[in-house]
This record gives sequence, C-alpha cells and structure tokens, in this order.
Amino acid sequence: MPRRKGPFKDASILIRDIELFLTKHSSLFKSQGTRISHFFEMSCYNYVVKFYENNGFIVSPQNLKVGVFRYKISATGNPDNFSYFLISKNVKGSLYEFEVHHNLSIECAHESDIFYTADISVIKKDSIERINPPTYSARRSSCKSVNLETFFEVKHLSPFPELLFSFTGIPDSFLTKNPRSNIVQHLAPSLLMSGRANFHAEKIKKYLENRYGINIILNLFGTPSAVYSKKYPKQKIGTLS
Amino acid sequence: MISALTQNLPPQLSSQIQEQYDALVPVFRAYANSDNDKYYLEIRNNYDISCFILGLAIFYKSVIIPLREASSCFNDFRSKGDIREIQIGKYIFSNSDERRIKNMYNELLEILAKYNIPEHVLLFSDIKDFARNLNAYLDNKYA
Repeated sequence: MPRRKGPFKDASILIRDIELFLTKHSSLFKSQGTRISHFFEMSCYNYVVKFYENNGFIVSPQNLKVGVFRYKISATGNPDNFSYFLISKNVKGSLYEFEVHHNLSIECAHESDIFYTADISVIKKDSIERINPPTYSARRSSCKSVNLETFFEVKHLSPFPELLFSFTGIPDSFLTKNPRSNIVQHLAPSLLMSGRANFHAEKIKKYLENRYGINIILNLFGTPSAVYSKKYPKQKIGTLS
Repeated sequence: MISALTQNLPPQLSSQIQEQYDALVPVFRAYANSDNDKYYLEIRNNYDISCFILGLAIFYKSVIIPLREASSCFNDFRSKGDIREIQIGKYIFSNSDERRIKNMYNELLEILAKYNIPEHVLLFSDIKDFARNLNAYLDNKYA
C-alpha cells in the first residue's frame, strides 16, 4: 500500500520558512543573544518569587529607580544599588518578612570571612551587612549564614553527574540548619537547571533529594511551574527561629 | 545546515550551538544508520531534514525559550508594584523588547504548527531521546 505524503516531502519548504523567520528577526537575535544566560537566571528568580506568592506571601519590589527594577547580574557590586523583592506573610499575628536577592554573598556557616555567592537567596529582612573582611582587599556586602533562609543555584545546562553531586556540598557549608520552625516554610536549597534529565540523571536527582533534603529541579524550560506550583512536590525547610 | 540557524547570533552563543550540534551529529548518524528500524528507520529515510530539525531543536532550547521566558518574566515583574522596566547590566529591557519577542515567538509557533512539529520533540533530554521522538513523529506522519 503506498504511503501517504509525509510532512517533509519537500523539506526545503520548512528550511526556507525557518530561514525567512531567522532573517526577519535577525536583529532581535543579535541584540538579545548576548543576554541569554542572564534571562535564564532572571526567569528562575521570578519562579522563586512566584513560589512565595502562591504560598500566601505579599510580594513588593524594593529599591526601584524610577520604575526600573535593577537586576544584579554578577557577584560584584553593592546590593544597595540593586532591586529585590520583599516578601511578607502574617501568621497567627506574627509578621514574617524576608528579602529575595540575586547574586548575594553569603558567609560560611562554619568559618568566618569565607563567602559564596548564591544565584538567588532568601534572607531575613535587613540582614545584609557591609563588611571589610581580611580575606578581601575591598569592602563587600554579605549576609551571615544565620540569616540565610534558603538559596538557589541556577545552571543553564543539561544535568550531568558531577554537577548534581557537587551541589550537595554547598548547603552543608552555608546553610544554618537549626533552630528552624515550620510556621513558615521555604523551598529547601535547590539546584535549578534548564536541561532535561536522562534516566541516569533522574535517578541521581531522586537519590540526592532523599539523602540531603534538597531539590534538584530540571527541565525548567519545559515546566517552569515545577519551581512554584504546588502540583510538583518539593523538599521544604522551616524558617530560622 | 546549522549555519543558517547560527549566522545571526552573537559569536559566543553561535559557537555554543555549533559545538552542541557537532557533538551530537555523529551519535545521531550512528542511530540513523543502525539496523534498528523500529526506532530509527524514518530518520534514516529523512536524514537531511532530521539533521536540520536537530539544529532547530538546539536553537529552540538555547535561544527561543530563554527569550520567551524573559518576556514572561518581564510581564510578571510589571504586575508587581510599579515596575515599568528591568535593567540588566547596562541594558534596559522594556515594553518594546517584550513585544518583539512575543511576535517572534508566535511566528515560530505558527511555523511549527504548519508542519505539526510538537514542542516535546524539540525539548529533548539526550540525543537518543530526540532520535526516537523524531522517528516516531515522522512515522506517525507517514502512517
């Protein structure tokens, strides 16, 4: 029985359509193409803020400059010059307020004057300090581990074993685990990645999540709501008390 | 064929996509040439266009989706308080950027719909996954 015509009987038509599309939008790709990794990080920041909105927090942007949200794209720079979101929730008469920052230095939980810059961090309100550590020649702004509620590492990559395993060391060094209370809950420290898992990576992810109480959230371009939707179960941690 | 997809991109992004493509094609070719007709016959019969769709998939994941998400993020930010624009480094992302991205994305969706290319084929996790999904898609179209 003869086969019906396939979609690519004349494949050149698809190729021509795509080429026309690319030519038409070439200036957009040229101009925005340099910012792709910032866009991914910024999107993840947005997903984290959405998580809090979905969990009853009031979200308000802070430190805007005439309506402009200034996104901090690197570890350098004074956080005072950048914007962030303040999230607040009233639980049984107590007001809980946190700040969601991007690219903020966090001091190690076990050793003073050593730092790690979390891509996204949720900290207690007004807990950023301007310090002059002997390990650095310049003053820097950072947050002590005792004020770090949770944090997120963002990678615009496909998951691979070395990266997945290496993430587990960061919470151990930078997160103060106790005392915490479950009155307000945060997402546990999470690795957010754009790529999808193959069978092996999926197995590693499940193992690490169970063993370390962390989240490894993959395929964010396919399912961004995996970060903020209640439909996707995730590990959580209580707030620092 | 991949050069058509990368020629208008900044050099760094263009070479990232080229490198991904170059690394995947030999494995993809091996699947296409294998004697496992159940999973790979149609990509063998449509090899050139299959390679083009592989390039398109890499481009889609590396360029189109991050732009779409930036546009969506901008919308979400604007709904929170008085945010009108987002400053990223020295660049100000504004309404006009959002509009341009939306138009571009919608046009691409129309092309994908015209050829019935499902998004899940483009958002592959590994090359075996892609080869099998693409083969199933082509097979369906011929069924």
